[in-house]
Amino acid sequence: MSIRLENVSYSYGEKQAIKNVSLDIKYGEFIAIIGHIGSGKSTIIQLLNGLKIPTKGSVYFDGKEITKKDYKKGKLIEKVSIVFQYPEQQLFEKTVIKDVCYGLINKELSEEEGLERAKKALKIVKIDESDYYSSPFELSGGQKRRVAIAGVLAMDLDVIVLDEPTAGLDPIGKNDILSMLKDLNQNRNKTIVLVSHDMNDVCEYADRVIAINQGEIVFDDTPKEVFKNKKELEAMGIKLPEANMLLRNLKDKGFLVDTSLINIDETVEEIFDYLTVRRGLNEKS
Amino acid sequence: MLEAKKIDFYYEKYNEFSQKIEKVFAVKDMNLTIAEGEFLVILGKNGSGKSTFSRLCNALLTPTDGVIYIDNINTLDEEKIYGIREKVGVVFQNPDNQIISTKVEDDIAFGPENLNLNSLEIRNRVDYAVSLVGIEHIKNTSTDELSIGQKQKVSLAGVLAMKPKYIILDEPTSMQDPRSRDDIMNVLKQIRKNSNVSIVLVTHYMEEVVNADRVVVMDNSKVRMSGSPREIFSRADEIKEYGLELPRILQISNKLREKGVKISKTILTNEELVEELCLLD
Repeated sequence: MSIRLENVSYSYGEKQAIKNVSLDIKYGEFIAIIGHIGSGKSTIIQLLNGLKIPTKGSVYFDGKEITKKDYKKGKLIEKVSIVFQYPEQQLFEKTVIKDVCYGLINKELSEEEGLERAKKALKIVKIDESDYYSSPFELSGGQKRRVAIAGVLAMDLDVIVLDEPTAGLDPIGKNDILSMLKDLNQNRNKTIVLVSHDMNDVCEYADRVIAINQGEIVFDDTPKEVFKNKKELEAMGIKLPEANMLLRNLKDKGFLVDTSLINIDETVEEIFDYLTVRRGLNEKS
Repeated sequence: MLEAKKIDFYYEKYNEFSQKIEKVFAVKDMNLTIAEGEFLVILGKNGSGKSTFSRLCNALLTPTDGVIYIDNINTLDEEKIYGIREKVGVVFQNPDNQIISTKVEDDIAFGPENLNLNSLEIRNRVDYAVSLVGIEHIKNTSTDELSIGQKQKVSLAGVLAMKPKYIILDEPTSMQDPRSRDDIMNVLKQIRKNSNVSIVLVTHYMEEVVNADRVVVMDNSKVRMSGSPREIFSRADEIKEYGLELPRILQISNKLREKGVKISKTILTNEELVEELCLLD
């Protein structure tokens, strides 16, 4: 079971946004897509649910080619949902609960079932019950974002693609959303595809990183492997995670530390271990 | 000087029957003075009142109680509202709320055009803003072809072309990639170096705080902390209490400290921590 792009290209008029990209997404993965503005990230995610049809190449869904004319596109909408940038701009209903229910209208659900699912989704994104009947426009930016995401979660699809879902959120709001995604991935078996500019988050949450530059996939590997390519990533406008940068800076000063580590806790352990055990320097004494 | 004196601002909240049920204060009893040339950062979680405050600064909203003075002009004085908007430029969170023209250059020129300037001066200001923000390559592009990140840069350029005395930026880098984020921070640094403009930056990126003269932390519609970046970040417990987090490099430094590594100060940058650790050698 997977989504597969095979030699896919996509052009906007004469401008080629995606060049000959092949990609295989398996169910259950947590993938981060990285790349600077205009690299083609947003185009790729729209190819993943058939919102854009490639100008060249094929897209397969569970082995079936969706780019063929006889494929029923309606099926795709049942599989992959996309949370676009600033999804709160799409809020429009009078109350929070109505807005979350909106996507369910075309599903064969009774009103109670719809409400039930909406409430469940609102619980996952931690919107307080007292806000269910407020206008979504009275909520703060972070709350609006979560209501919009709840609208997508209520659809209960297998694959959730999110285009910078934490942009503009405060640290708590950001961590809430990211750990919610981790939970959906680990405990509810959802496939998550996350477009992000924050490499620190990418390293803490994703199992696989796909780096895109000028419409092409440059790296597709575990975060640790991808972030070994400092020069190439920096040339693409991508900053290394803070922890990894620290290890590299220390190495330049003669510290014999492992510069492949990318997480904060690993980095703290490594530096401490180097200072105390390997250097025989016990700071407590 | 920008002075907020005991200001309140509230929205009405409605129930499911469209009846007013309560007043929700976005800003309450807020006192804040911003000096000429100061670089102030406002931190606070979503809903703490930061965006409302930026709208109050250029009289887009007026306080429901208390007053704001911009160089001694009361923002409640409707006759002087254009003068206030000339002095205070706001770059909003969502650039789509701010871009009105179809071509990038036209959009940047829109502000200066309304300042009654001659066309040569308008031309100069647009060129100045375009080159300062580094968007020469898109200046003739249609605004609806831009990415959100590019739109944020265009709306910043539009404000800079007004040459305001106070620039309020409400999360100007939220949709930027790391390189563009650095670009924007560098633009701010340059403006500060070359003029006596006051900058108020509302942000969630703790790394952008480092260069500020002063940091103000808002929570639940009130100002809770105020001080230099190092002072503020040394109060880790309060930072957490107000729903914020420490810059990542400081988190690493604090964790090392907890393990007994001697680090003498509150670390703000990667370089500082490297220096400290080198001292242990």
